[in-house]
Amino acid sequence: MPLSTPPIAQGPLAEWHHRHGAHVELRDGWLVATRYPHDAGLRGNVLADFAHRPTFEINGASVAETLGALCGSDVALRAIMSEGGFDVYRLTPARAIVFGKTPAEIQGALDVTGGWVSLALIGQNAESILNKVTAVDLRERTLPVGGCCQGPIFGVNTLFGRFAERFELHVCGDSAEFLWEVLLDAGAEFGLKPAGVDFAR
Amino acid sequence: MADSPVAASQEACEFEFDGKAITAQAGQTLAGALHEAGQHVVSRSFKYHRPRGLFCCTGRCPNCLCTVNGTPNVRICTVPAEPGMVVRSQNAWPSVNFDFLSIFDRLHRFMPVGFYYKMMYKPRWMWPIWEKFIRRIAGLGSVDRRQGADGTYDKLNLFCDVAVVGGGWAGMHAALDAAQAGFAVTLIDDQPLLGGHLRFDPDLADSRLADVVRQVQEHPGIQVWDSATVFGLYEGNYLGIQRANRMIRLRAAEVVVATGGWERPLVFENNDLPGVLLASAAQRLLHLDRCRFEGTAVVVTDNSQGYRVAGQLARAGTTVGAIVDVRENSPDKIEEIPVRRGQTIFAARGTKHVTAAVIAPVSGDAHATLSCRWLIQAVGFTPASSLLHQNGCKFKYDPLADHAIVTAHGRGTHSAGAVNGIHDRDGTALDGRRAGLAAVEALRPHDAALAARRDELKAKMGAIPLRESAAAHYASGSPAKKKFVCLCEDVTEKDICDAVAEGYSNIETLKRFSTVSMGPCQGKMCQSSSIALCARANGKSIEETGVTTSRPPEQPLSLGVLAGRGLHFSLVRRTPMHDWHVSAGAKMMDAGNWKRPETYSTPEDEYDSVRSRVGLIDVSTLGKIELRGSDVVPFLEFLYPNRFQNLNVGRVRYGVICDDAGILLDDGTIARLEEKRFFLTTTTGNADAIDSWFRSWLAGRPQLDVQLTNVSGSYAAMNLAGPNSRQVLAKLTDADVSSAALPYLAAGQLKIANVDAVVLRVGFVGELGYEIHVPSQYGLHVWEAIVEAGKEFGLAPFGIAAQRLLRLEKKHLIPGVDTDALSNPLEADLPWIVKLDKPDFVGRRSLAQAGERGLRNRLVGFRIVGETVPQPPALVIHNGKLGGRVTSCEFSPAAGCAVGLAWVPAEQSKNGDKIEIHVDGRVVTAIVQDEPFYDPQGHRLKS
Repeated sequence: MPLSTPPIAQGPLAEWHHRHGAHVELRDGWLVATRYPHDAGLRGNVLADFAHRPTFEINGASVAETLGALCGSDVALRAIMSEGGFDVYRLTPARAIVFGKTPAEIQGALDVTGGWVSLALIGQNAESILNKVTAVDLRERTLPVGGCCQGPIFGVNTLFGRFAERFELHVCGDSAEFLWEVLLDAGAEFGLKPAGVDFAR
Repeated sequence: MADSPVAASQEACEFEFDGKAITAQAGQTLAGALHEAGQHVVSRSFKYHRPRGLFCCTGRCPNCLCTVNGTPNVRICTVPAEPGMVVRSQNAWPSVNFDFLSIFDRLHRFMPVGFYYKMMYKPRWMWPIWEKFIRRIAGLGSVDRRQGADGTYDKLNLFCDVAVVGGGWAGMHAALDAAQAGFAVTLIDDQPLLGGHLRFDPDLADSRLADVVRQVQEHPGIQVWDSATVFGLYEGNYLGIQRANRMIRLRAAEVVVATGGWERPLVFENNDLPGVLLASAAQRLLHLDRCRFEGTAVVVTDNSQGYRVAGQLARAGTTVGAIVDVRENSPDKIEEIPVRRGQTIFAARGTKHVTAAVIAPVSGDAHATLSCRWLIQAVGFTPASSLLHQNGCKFKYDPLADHAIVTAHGRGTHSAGAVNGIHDRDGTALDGRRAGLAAVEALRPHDAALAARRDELKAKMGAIPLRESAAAHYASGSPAKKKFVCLCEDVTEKDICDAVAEGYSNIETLKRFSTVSMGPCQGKMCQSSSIALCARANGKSIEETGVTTSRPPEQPLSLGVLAGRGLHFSLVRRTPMHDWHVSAGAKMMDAGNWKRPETYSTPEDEYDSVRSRVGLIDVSTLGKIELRGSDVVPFLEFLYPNRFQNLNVGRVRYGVICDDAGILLDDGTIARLEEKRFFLTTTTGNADAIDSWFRSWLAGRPQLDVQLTNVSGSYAAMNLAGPNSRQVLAKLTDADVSSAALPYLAAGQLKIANVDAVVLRVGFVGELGYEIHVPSQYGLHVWEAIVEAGKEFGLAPFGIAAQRLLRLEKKHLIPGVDTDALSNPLEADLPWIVKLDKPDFVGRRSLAQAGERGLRNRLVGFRIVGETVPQPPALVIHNGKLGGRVTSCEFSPAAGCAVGLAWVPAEQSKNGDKIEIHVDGRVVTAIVQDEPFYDPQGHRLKS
C-alpha cells in the first residue's frame, strides 16, 4: 500500500450496514450508510448512524470562554445549542462536546470523532422505545427539546440529546453495535427500522 | 389508556379442559365457564390432593391454578376464555375428578406439620430415595421448556408524579384529584376494567360508577395500566409492575396505595370443599361471568356484605336457605330469608362438593344441619396492605375493626379506601380524594387552596361512620382435623396448634415451620386466621402476636418477567478490528465486556511468530487518557508513586497507581507527547475506574490547570512486536524508526499508513515492539496495512493466550491477576517504582509504613524442573502450612520448563529459594528466580 494512499475512515457499524444491505458511500473520507433499500417506504420510526460526524471534546476551566468564542455565548448546563451544522452539548461546567463540523478550529478542543458514535432515533415512538431500554427519565418535562443528559442503557454510558423530532444518542464506539441491536430489538414492536443518513437527515 | 393485554372474546367460544370441550359465553372467564359447565373440581390440593373448586375468583387463592396453553400455575379465574385454549388441571393423577394421590388425605395422621423434618433423614441412605419421591410428587405444575424458550418478555421504565395502585372507588377518586391539580398520574389496576368491587356489587354501584370511570379514562393527565399487578413497592417509590409478559418499573414522586382488601375465609371443618366460596367470588360469578348458582345456598356473615350477597343470589334464582350471622343483633328475617343469629358454620359436608352445612353457636357444638349446595362466606376483609408494609409504613392493630391500620406512612406514600379499613362507599370516595390531595400537597406544599380543600374533606369524613365494627370470629369450635387455615400448603388449625405446642410459638418461626402463608397466595387467604390462631394457642392478643414480614413479590410472577429479554443480559464491547478478527478465524473470548481474540491458530505458533519473526495484537481495549495543561506534571507526581518531573518530551514511562492504603490499583504507561500534553494508558479492566479515580482527585483540585479527556474509545491500538517489527513499521512510514531515532521507551507522533499515530516503544511481550495508537475510525485501515506490510516478514496476528505466555517469560505482572486487594508495589516486586523521597503522593504514608514494617509476602518468579504446570491458584506450602498462591503459570519454551509468578512468604523469596506448591494432591518444588525467564538483560527489548 503506497504511503500516500488516503486512509478510509469507518465507524463501528460499517460492517453491520454492509451485512444488512445498506448502500454505503464514501463521503469526506468516511464510509457512510447513506440509504437502505427500504428507506423509500419508511413511514414510522427509524434509527440512523451518524458516526462520521466530527466530534470534539472541550474540557477544563475555560470551557465557557471557548464556547463563547464558538457560539457567541456560553451554553447552559444540560442544554444543547444548535448552530449552523453543529450541536454543542454542555455536560458540566468543565465539559462540553461538539458534534458536527464547526466553521473554524475550536481552540483547546480535542478531536474525539472516532471515540463517539452518534445515533439518531426518529419517530413518534422514540421515547417509548427508549423507555424499554433505559431507566433515565426522558419525559419532555425532564428532558425538554434542546436538552441533554447522560445515563446508562444496559451498561452503555449514553449521552442523550432531545430534538424536536428525534433523540440523538451518543455512545462510545466500542458499544455501538450492541446498542444498535438493543434499540432495533426494543423498537421492533413499534416497527423501528434502520435507515440511511440521507433519509434520516 | 394503554391497550389491555387481556382481550375477552366478544362471542361465545369453546376451549378444552382436561380434554373435554367447554363452552364459554362472551366475556366469560375460564373459571366462569367451568362453573357454568358444572366442572366444580378444578384442581387438587398441594399436600393431601383434596378436591378444590373456585374459592376467591380474584386471582389470589391457589384453588384454580391450572396449566393454560402450556403455561403452568395460571389462575383461571382471571383469564378470559378464548377459542381453542387448552386448559389442564394440575397436581392430579390420572384426573382431577379421580386422583390416586388423594390417598394422602386418608394418611394425614402420618403427615403432620413438619413431618419431613422428622421422618426422612434417618436412615441417611434412605434420603436419596425419599428425595426422588418427594421431587416427583411435590410442586405445582411443570414448566414447558419449549414454551418458556419461545416466550417474549420485556421491560419498560416509566415515571410519573403520582402513582395510584388500585383502580377501585378510592383509587379512581385519588387519581382524579391528583390529576385535576395538574400532575401526571399513573393508575394501575390488576383487573381488566376499573371500578373495583363496585363492578360486581349492584347494590353499591349506581350511575356514578360509570361516570367516574369515564372521567378517569378521558382525563389527559391519567395513564391507566389495567390488568397490571404491582408486585413490589421499593425504596424511593419505585414500583415493580407485571403486565402480561412485561415488567414495568415505575418511579413515582408520590404513591397512593388503594389496594382494597382481601376477603377473610372462615376456618371450619371441610372449609375447602368445592361449593364453599367467598362472597365476592359468588358476586363475580353472578355479575361478571353471568353464572347461576343452582340449588340452595347458605351465607355466613358478620357484616352487611353477607346480606347483600344473599339478596343478590336470591334475585338470581338461588334458594338461600339461611343467613348465618355471627352477631347477635341482627334481624330474624331479610327478604324472606331466615337469619340464624349468633351462629356460625361448624362444618361443611360432602365429598367432592358441598351437600350440607352444619351450623352451631359461635362457641358451641353442632346445632343443626342445613342441606345446601353452596356455602358463601362474608366474614370481613383484611386490608391488602403488603405494599405499604414493604414501603416501611407503621401499623397498629385496631380491635374494633379487627385488623391493623396504618399509623405512619413511608416517605411519599399514602393509602386510601379499604386498605385503611374503610368500606363505606361514600367514605371510600372521600378517603381516596383525601389521599390524592395529600399526594398533591406533598408535591406542592404551602398551597392555601389545597389546605382548605383538605380541611373540607376532613369535615365531610368526620360526618359519616367510616368503619364497621367486626366480630373477630375466625374459626368454629369443631374439634375436627380438616379445618384448613392455609389452602396453598394444606395447613390445618391442628397443624398450627401442634407447631405452637412444639415451640414454634413466634409467628415468624411458626410460618417457617408450618409453611403457613408461604404458598402461592402469600398469606392473602390465611395470614389473618393464622395470626389469630397463633395468638389463641399462645394465650396472647393478636396485637402481641404481630404479623409476618411482607416481601416482594406481592403476587407470584414468572422468572421470565424478571429476566427480560436474553439479548439484553450483558453489554458486548468490540474493538474497531473486531470483524477482521472474526473473518480471520480468531477464537474470541470474553475479557470483561470485551470480545477479544484468544488465538488465531495455536498459542504455540503465535508465540513462535513473535519470538522469531513478528506478531501483531489488538490492544484497543486498553484504557487511554489524554491530559493537557500546565499542571499535569504535579498532578501525575501526586497520583503516581514514581517520578514524572524528569520525563522528557518524547519519552514514555511505566507507572503504577496506588490507593490511599498503598494498594496497587492499576498499571500502565505515561507518555509525554508535548510539553503540556501527556498520553496515558491503563489496563483493560480498570479503564473506567482509573478515569473516575483521576476525575475524583482532579475535582478536589480546581486550581490545577489540567484538562482530562478519556480517549479510550477514540484510539484503536495495536502492538507490533518481534525482531522484524522495525522493518514492518519502516514500510508504513516516512519517519525514522531506527533505534537511534526511536529508542526503547520513546514516544513518537508519526504517520503510519498515512494516519496520525502515537507510537510507544514499549515491550510488554519482551521483544522489540511498538504500541501504535491511531484514531479508531482508522483502526482497521492501519491494522490491514500492517498485516499487508508484514507478510514478507512472516507477520502473524496473535491473541491473548500467546500474549500471556510472552509477558510471563518477562515476569511482567497483570494487576488483578497477579495482584489483589492486599498487594502493594513494594511486595509486588516493584519497590524501585516507589519514590518515598517525593514529598507526597497517593498512598505514600501507607507505603512508607509498609517499608518500615518490612515485607510479609512477595510476588516472585519461579521455575519448576519437570513437566508439571501448576494452575492458579495452586497453593504454596510453607512449613506445612498455607504460605501463598500461584497467580500465573505456563510452560515456557524459552526456559524449557514451567515458569510462573507466586505470592510467597518474604523469608522464602530470595533468588534460588525453594518453594513447595501443592498440585493435584502432591507437592512439587519450585525455585525462586529474580531475573526474567527470557532475555534477562533486555537486549531484544532495547534492540
